[in-house]
Amino acid sequence: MTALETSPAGDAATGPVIKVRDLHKRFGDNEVLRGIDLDVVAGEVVCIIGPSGSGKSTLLRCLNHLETPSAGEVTVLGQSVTRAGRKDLARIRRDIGMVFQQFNLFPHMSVLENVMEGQRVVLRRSKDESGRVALAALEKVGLKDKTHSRPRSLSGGQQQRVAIARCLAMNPKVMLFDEPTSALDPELRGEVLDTMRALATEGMTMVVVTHEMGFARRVADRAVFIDGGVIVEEGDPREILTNPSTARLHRFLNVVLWGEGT
Amino acid sequence: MGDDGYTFDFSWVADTWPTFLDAAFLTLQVLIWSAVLSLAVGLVAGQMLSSKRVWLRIPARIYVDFFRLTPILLQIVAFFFLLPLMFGISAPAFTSGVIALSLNYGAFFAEIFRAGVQSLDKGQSEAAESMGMSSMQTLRRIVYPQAVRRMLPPIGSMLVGLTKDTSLISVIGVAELFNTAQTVGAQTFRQIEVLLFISVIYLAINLPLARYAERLNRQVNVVV
Repeated sequence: MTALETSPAGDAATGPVIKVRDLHKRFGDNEVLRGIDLDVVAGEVVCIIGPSGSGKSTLLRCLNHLETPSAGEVTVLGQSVTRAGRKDLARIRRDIGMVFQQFNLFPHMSVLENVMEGQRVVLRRSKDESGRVALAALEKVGLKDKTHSRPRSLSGGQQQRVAIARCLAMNPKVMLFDEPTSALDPELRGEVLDTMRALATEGMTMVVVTHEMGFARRVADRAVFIDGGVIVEEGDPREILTNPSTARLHRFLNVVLWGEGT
Repeated sequence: MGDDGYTFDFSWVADTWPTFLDAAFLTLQVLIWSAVLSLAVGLVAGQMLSSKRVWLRIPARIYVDFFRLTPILLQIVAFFFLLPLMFGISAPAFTSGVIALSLNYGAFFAEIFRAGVQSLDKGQSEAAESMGMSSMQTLRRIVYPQAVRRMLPPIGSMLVGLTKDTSLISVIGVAELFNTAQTVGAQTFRQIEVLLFISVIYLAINLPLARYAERLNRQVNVVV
């Protein structure tokens, strides 16, 4: 489906798709992010891992300004997210798809309407065009037969795939995934992870906050381990998730992989 | 009718029904004006109440608390007598009464709207805004269509209450139903019958309203 072809976001000349510099975020007295630097280049899949409360979701939410950083700068596709006014921010966000842990589908709309909504309201596409694109997106996630269902009648895995289709229909240049499988029963995670892996194969630029170490190892180009609001270790996931060089990542991997206490 | 002393007499209705028709019409006017105005005030104030900006939130909070926590009768009388004294604004009793009712009910509606919007999962507006929707688009397309379903039942019962409370502006001399009933009662010495008579008129207005609200309520519960 040509409507959904993944377009390469930027190129070597324009630099990284996402650029994070000295990012800080505090909630009251609690400093959740303490100076994060991160570059994501076009076509790269970056998995962010770390214990709960480490700040990984907050980092992801700073990338599209769902959280306002306390200090530092986020640049996406060459535009500053942190300094953008309302209008500019809305425009930048069109290019950044976000998939949430709780799916956040619109319950008052059918599956098809969910996938058409952003196209209609934000991109001002015609009903015909947005319907066509929506169907293509739903076909891509394997849910073309559910177009007229209500989101709540679907399984969690199906809902998350609709959420991914809803993003894809906007032709994003980058996609952010905030623990996309954490709310799912184990047997439903595979279908979502398979969909994400297919996107990665097509060259979509992706930042994924996840506890799925298998996915990180097989699909990610880079794993970033965050603890205590700083990046403790990063590198090739096949390398660092097997032979971590820091004791903290080693302990974390023991806990998530084998359920051992720290 | 009555065996022990009191005989019900409705013969006065034949002469006075046009007066009651006018009064009922006036009550309906008060009701409709106050309903529209208070819903508009409530929508704006409710939005201000959930605003992140302090300079919007604080004035709305003061307004809502003042009008919700003082007697409505006091507000009606105060608007009618105090405003001309304090600000030199003199409004007809009808206008003054409608404004007082609207501001009072607007304060309650504001809380209903605020609660309805805030009861919605934050993920809904985050999903909309992360696609690039403006906050107005998010409210119109995502938040209100869902929140309205939760707001309808309390709005319905408030409107039933508003119908009854229109009788309060009789105290400032608006010749609506209750005020007319007092006048006719005094002239005919048939106070009890007069009150029974206007009860039926209030019921005629409120029964359909209440039934309609209940039906909406049922539909809403099916959908959500």
